[in-house]
Amino acid sequence: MKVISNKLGELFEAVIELVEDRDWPAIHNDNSFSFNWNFEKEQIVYKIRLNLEEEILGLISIEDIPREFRIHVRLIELNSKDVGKSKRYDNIAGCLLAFVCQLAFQKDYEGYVSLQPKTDLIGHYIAKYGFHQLGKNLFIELNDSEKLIHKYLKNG
Amino acid sequence: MDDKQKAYYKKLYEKLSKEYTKEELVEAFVFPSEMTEEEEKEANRQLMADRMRRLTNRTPEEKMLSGLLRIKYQMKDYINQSQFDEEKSTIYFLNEYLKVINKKQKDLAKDIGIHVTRLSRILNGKENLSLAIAYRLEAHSGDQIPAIMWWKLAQKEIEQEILSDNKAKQQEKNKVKNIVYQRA
Repeated sequence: MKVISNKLGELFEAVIELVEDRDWPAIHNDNSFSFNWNFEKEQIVYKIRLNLEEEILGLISIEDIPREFRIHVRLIELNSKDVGKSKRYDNIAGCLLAFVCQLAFQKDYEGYVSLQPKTDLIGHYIAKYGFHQLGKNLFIELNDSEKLIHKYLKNG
Repeated sequence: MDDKQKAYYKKLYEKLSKEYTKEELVEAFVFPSEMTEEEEKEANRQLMADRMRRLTNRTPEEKMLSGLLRIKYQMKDYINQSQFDEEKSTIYFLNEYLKVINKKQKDLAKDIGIHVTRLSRILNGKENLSLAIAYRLEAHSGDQIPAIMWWKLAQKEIEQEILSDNKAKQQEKNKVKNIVYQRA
């Protein structure tokens, strides 16, 4: 998978992997993240970084719900240097979500991924990632999930 | 989440909303749920009901797509792992493919234009999967499972064979004459 340098327009190889014990102090002490990630230590948390670099570009916390054949996205937060107009890299959150869609296919969940967003952001998640609304929930599955994987994990 | 946490995230969201547009926020965050306990219970109930309804009402095409994509991403995951796992062989994934398409060996062999004995040899580990068959499997899956994945899977097995089959290595070595360089 690749993220795009906002300044150069070039693609950079990125890696998503589970957060390890040694990552937690850095996440906690680094001013790059504002969420209370310490509360997620018991959850499944992945980080994204550039290949060959240590700096964490973003984090995603998920819950595997096998009885409902779905993965629920609890939180996503990107490094503060990658938020807004001055961000260094584009597509980071898309890569994290697409990675989870891929997991949801591997687990035989039909690519079904859900999240419970802030009400005033619902329309924007739908427009940006192709989610569908179900009351206060959003979900993505099958073809739409595959489209997201194709868009973010196969760009070059 | 306790009230203190909720208040923290409320304040954080208000701050970030002043700095960034909503488009920029969805490109960088999924915030914790802002629902009350009751609302969250109801939302979860709704999700579960919808999930079960969808699972029950899947069309054969949707089931097929879901099965093919499961195989594809399981293969991708295994190919990207550095270690070899004999459980995740070409034979395993071919058998999974047969289950998903709900066909017998003879029917798949017919579909991809090979003799059933050849498919059976591959499934019994007596013959490696060729590039031609990988191309045909790609076409057969409606391009959902790329030939390159079948090929990489087969190569991973050959790599393991090279690393572990010392007997065959020695047998072939015995057939070689006039070795061009002898280590001192």
